[in-house]
Amino acid sequence: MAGIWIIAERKANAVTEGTLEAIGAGRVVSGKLKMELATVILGNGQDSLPANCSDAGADNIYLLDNPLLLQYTSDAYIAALQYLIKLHSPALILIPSTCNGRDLASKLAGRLKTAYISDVSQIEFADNEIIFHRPIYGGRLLSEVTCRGEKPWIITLRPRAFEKAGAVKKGARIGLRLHISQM
Amino acid sequence: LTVRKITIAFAPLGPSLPGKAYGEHPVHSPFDRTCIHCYTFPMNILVFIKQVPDTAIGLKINAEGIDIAYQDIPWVINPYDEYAVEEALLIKEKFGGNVTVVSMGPDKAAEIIRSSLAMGADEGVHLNDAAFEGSDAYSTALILSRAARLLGYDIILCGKNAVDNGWGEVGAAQAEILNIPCVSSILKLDISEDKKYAIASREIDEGLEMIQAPLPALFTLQQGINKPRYASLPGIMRAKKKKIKVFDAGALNIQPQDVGRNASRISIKGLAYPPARKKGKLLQGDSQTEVKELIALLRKEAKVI
Repeated sequence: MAGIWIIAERKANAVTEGTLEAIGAGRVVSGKLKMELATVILGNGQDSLPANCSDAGADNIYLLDNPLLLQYTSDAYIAALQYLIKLHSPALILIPSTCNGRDLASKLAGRLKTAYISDVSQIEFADNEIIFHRPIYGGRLLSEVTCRGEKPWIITLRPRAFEKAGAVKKGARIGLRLHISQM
Repeated sequence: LTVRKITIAFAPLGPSLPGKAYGEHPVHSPFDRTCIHCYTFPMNILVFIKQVPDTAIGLKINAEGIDIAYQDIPWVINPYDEYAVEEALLIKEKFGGNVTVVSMGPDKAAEIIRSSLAMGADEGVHLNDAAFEGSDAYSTALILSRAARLLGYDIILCGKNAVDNGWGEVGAAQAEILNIPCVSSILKLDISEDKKYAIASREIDEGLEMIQAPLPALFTLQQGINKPRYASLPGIMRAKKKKIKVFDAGALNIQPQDVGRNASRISIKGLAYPPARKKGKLLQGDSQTEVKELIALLRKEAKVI
């Protein structure tokens, strides 16, 4: 089932502001495209489900739980995500544009050979197309781009460019435990 | 500053290739790090550089509205790539080796290859083919990775992104294609004495993260890692005499339909100037309400906190 995913970034036992903004942006996109919105949380341990994420408005939460995912490393995160992407084939993956977010997004796009748009500051819809706005030439110009070809398309979102998702509805909690053998 | 140390558990599984023959010893894959003979040989350092319009000047949008107007604009080496050239020269000074600068681009891209040779690089390679024009980041990475395989490598360096369109993907995707570790946005690079691995300090939101990666590996460089040198006069004279190798699609075994504008996963619909800066706002009232209002405005209007 095609869907829109947000790769959550965690700090202590909560998801970051950037993640909530990405969920907010994702909810707008999913409403327009009538697609399911899911948050993907990677981590390890009992406290893997952050408190402020469960009711931030995602339809689904994929929880990837594995000791290797305790700390961000691109190798482990990409291996885990690749497995989940193969299972559920999302259409769009939104990632907060932080140091680790950019690292993950660029490597994931390289692995999947799909479109990657970095540092998006605005998302617009026209004629069944999603248009992404992003600053180029060090912010001197704004560029409007669209993706084509195979999915998932991978997008990183500029911090503070999108409205944060407020607590709107209870998220369906889906815990998916990944075993090392599956990676 | 938090410093965390992580070891990448990554075994380089290079495809078996007809490797570069090092002197008299048998031909094997350039990825084979078990060959004792090879360790005595200098490192092969590849630097990928890009020529970009100088962003210090005012850029204009062209008549079609989907690209910038290219008339009379100065072109420079992407500043992040210049750090990569400098870092390669620093590694060479310490460990010996061969620094090859590679650039994909039209004829004028030869200028930055020449200027890197003047800084002290040993060889220059120009990837030039009309079919490459308009390639997206992944296709570019594919072309560069083919060049890397032809040239052989122990360390690949490039800027963390280009300052033009700046997708920030080419380095990462290239490492994926070559199946080697990639550490992005690094601010420090140390190579072990035996040249078997590197420890790179990578920029993260909380500070720095030290990552150990076995060589061969690719690193993308962040501003501040070093201070690029100026080319010396003898360097400039030497660079003038050097021959730059040119590889086209055929030499790189690239099918023209796999790269270029038609194969691009991205299409640019339009360019715009950012909205003009708004007039400043003067807040009224006592300091208590001013502060409150300021915080609210910074949050809601300026969206900076």
